[in-house]
Amino acid sequence: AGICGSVSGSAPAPCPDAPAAEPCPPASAPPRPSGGAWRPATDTHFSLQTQLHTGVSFLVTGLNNGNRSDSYVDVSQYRDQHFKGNRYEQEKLLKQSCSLYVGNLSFYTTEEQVHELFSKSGDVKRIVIGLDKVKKTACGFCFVEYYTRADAENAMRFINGSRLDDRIIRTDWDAGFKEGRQFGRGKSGGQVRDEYRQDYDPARGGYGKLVQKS
Amino acid sequence: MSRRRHSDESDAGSQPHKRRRTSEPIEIEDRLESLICRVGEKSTSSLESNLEGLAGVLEADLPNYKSKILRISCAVARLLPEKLTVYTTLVGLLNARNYNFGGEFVEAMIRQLKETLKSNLYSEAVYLVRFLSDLVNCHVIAAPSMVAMFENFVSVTQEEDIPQVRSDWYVYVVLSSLPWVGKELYEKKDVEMDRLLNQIEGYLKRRQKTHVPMLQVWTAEKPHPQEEYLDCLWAQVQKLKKDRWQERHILRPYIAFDSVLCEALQHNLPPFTPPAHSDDAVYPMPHVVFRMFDYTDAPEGPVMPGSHSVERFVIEENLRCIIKSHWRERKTCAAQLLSYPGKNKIPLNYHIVEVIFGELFQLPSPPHIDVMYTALLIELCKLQPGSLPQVLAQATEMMYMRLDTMNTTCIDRLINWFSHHLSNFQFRWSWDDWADCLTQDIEKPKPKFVKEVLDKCMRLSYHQRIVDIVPPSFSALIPADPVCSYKYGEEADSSLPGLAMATTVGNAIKNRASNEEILIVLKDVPNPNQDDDDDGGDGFNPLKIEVFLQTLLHLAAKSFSHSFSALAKFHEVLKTLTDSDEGKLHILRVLYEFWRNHPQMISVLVDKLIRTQIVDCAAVANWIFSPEMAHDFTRFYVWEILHSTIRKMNKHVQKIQNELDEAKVKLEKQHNKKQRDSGDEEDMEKNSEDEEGQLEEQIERLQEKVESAQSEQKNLFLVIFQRFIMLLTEHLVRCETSGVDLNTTWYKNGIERLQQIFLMHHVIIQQYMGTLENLLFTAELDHHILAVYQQFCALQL
Repeated sequence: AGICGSVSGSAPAPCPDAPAAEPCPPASAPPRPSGGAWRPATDTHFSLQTQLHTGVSFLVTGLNNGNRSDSYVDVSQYRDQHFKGNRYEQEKLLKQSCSLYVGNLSFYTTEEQVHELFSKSGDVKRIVIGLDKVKKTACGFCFVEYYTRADAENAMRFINGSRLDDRIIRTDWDAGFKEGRQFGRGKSGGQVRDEYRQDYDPARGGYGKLVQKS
Repeated sequence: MSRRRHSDESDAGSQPHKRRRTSEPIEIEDRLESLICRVGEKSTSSLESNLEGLAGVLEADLPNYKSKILRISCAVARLLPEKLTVYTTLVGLLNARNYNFGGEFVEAMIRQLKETLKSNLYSEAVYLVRFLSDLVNCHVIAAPSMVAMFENFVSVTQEEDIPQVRSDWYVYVVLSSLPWVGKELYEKKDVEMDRLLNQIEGYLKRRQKTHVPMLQVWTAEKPHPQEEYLDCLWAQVQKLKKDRWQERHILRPYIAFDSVLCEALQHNLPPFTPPAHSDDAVYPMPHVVFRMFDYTDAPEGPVMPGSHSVERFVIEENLRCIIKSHWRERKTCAAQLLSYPGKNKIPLNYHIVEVIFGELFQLPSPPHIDVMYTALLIELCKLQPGSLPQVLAQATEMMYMRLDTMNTTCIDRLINWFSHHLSNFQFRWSWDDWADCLTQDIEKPKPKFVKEVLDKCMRLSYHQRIVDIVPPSFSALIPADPVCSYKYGEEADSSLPGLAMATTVGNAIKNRASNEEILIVLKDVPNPNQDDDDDGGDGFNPLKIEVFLQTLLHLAAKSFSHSFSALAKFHEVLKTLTDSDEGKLHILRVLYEFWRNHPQMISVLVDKLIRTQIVDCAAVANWIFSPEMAHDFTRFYVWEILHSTIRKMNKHVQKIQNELDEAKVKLEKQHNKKQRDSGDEEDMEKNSEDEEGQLEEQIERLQEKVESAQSEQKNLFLVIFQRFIMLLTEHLVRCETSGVDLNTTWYKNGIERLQQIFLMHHVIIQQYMGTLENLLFTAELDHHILAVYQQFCALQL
């Protein structure tokens, strides 16, 4: 157990926060940069820590390389359960990827709109619109692939968490498009999140499927 | 789940040396780094007591961690310039407690300065020199030795045969340190400082300013003159001197420690000779200071410092430093900007908005990617919802009012920013405030701006949305519904050539015909260019192209993906049809005719046609300048296509160049390996010889490829410049002979688009200056056009 929705050949341990046996998409905002694991101050050497209580916390990591904190580019907690390969391979692909998953789209958002928005961080190589497995209509997600990693990183920094069709969209690193991944994995054919949600969202088919059936 | 650092999270992602178990020294080093980096942040204790405490901790650690502390201190001097005075104070306190540390730190800084200058890191070098000069205030460095360094810098103005940008930089670095250290240096060495300033004044009077018009955002001098950066800084320093170097804006923590610091022993800077000029030195380009606000614009609250006050300079520098440090994390960046120390004494929101737009509109290009500024402004609006949106609206209104004199490249960026910004706020805007544009000719800057903004807004939404958000009076500016124009449709005239063939082709495609089958079908299309029916069936046949492409695009019109698939599927047919230059030009014409209401579709399809090598870059350039495109010549999308085309060409050359470099590196490694392995068995030697032979062959091939690609690249620029010259000269001659004023809206757009080519691709173009000057930009050229070339040359002279 550990990361939600971990990949392996065997059935994953249920993630305590999510519906059973399904990967849980993380919350919309990128995580605040963490302060790292501080050991409790035991000697005078480090008593200064208690004085330096920072309000706006940011960590400038690895000054030796001149690196800056770049948390918007970090990989999230989500892992594709259907990924064919082991965890190491998946991590490696995510860290090199030029492809992004884009979620929380309206069902009516077109490829053209996605192209216009995501072109702001660089040349877009390909867009694959996510489809309902049954109806073969757009079901609110897509993949955007760039020619370079740098362009995809800028999308994570500046387009993730902004609006498209008046909705806050979310982007996340994707290991790479494979045929079949353009389909929703919910029981009704759309995305999993639309199976269980309770709210009414006119841009995503109204109520969640479970609510609709009841 | 334990909260672990990002780098520790996954095995594959982390580097081995970051894994920590019980290695204490590394932990302590990280903690030192963190303590030093965080000092000066928001805290429950005062800055002074934090600095005092930290100095104590570091002094205790010096015996064991001196080199690490030195390294971190040098790094923060270079990378955290917005906290300059915090760190100079820290170094001052350490020097007071440990003289040797102070000496070693100064030495390390000088080494770092030499490195940055060698590596063309000029903005970092400025921060280092400023740091050193502030160390004078902290009694770490003796004032006379700082003056001596400045004297050496200014003596660069006496060097002969150097680019002006070199001496510019050395003057800049001296002037820009004076707000921090001017007072102290004048108190100790006023005679020398006066002499220095006189020298600088003399230099500023005689230097060339040809480059200025090309870099100004607005051509008008009112309401705010767009000053050359050194002129502005000089005026600011002059005013500071007149005020007897009284500077009240900079936060100076060292003042609180004066009693401790003045007891410290100072060090002398070693004599520093600026490194000699070399051909691969790339000095910073000159720039023009962007001003859009003055004290009359911030109605209530603190007064905005004047344009020639040194406070204005310091504020802008610090805000720019903050953006430079934090641009990757927009929330942090916004928070840091809004917690600028001393913010209560200035109209901070106005300064922030001015600095952000200053960067966004900077010519030749912004310091960071355009979309960052959009994202940053949105975060700022979220953090200050009661005040910042109003300032932003005020700024937008001001920029709209001044569109007539705004540089076209900057208008492009304004269009992109504004439309993207609106799309995050449900396109809410008081369009009626801009009703004045409706009475103007639609080509004038204001209605043109609104039209282009609505075009972009539509791309981010859909046609009906735009109809809904603007008042009915704006209907003339609403973009066309982006539907295709199929000429062989049901309404087509029955006598239209190719009509029947279009149906045949359409059916063939629907029945999954192959490329060969389609080509066979197309054989029956007559060639309107040929009278005789001699074979020539494979020559350029415009009708074939029209019939096929129109039909194909029509069947694939549903989405970008459909069209891309179609082009991919029938790549062979398209390649065959466009084998000649005329073919390539014609396919672009047909594409344009079909999708003329959907500029976005035209852009993406042109992109695909280039990437799949159905058309080449020169064909696109020729098409854009062709008479058929004259109607759209001033539209934004056309220039987006041209610049995207040039960028693809540049990336292509770069890619092959990289492959060549890699192969050369590999060969070198082979050589080294061979020397090491010599004396091994015969087999191994033979294998390595074979490998070497292969590599050498590969390098030769790649070399040819690079040369051929560069030749294509040069040709592309020649075509573009040639076409510009023809078009603009025609206009100028016509105006002269008919006695009409040449400064029409069309001409302003045309000449600024020419400028834009130079500005956006200056690095590449600089390689081909010789050819350009010999072939195109000769003395016979109309001086209006030649001026653009000369201004460009002045950017790195």
